[in-house]
Amino acid sequence: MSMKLLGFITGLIVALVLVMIIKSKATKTMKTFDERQMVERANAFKIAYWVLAFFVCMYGILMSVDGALVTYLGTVGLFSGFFLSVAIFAIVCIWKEAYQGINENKNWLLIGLIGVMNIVVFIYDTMKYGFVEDGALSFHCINLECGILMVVVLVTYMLKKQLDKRED
Amino acid sequence: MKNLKLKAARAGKDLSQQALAEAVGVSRQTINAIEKGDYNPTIKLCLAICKVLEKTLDELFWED
Repeated sequence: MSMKLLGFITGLIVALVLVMIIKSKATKTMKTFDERQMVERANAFKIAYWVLAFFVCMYGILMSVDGALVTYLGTVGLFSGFFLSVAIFAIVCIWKEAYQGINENKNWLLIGLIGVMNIVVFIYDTMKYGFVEDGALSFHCINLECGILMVVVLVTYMLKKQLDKRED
Repeated sequence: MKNLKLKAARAGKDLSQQALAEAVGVSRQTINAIEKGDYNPTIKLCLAICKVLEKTLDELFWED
């Protein structure tokens, strides 16, 4: 097993454990959404789902075309579909005020920090190993995608907050 | 269509959107959306609002 794969699996396990811990804490603090928020979240999920489905279909079709751009994007390209759908879900939820549960205070600073950290890791890895690996974009570019996702979510939240302040 | 009756009843009780939201167990934005006419609440939420504001369903939600 290569070191890279081992690192990926370790990272995935750490992330899963962290999510489980955070989720159990959130359940204890009764993170609940009201009826309007649940409807909005369901709509956002539906949009994100169809975007991802369309993306995967297009990606699959384009993969079979010789010399198409997606063949150079490899796994990174496929992951961008996932990040795109997550971003759409988050943006729609934030815009419809259904991202945070009742009386829930999301740690926006942490979201921003994760975003910046991912971008820093991407820059560091790119400088060390380069962009391309085996004729396709290297795996490090996923850090960039993740970083952009976090930053986009944070910017959307700040923008919405400013708009709400103006309305009030 | 804006629900001015709800807004008036809430103001009559001297309740803020946040206070009413807490009393009925929803977010402030949901009360705001109902008042603005952007969201149609379920009958369950309508009843909860009516009880807090001491009004009938007709008085708050019937459109003339």
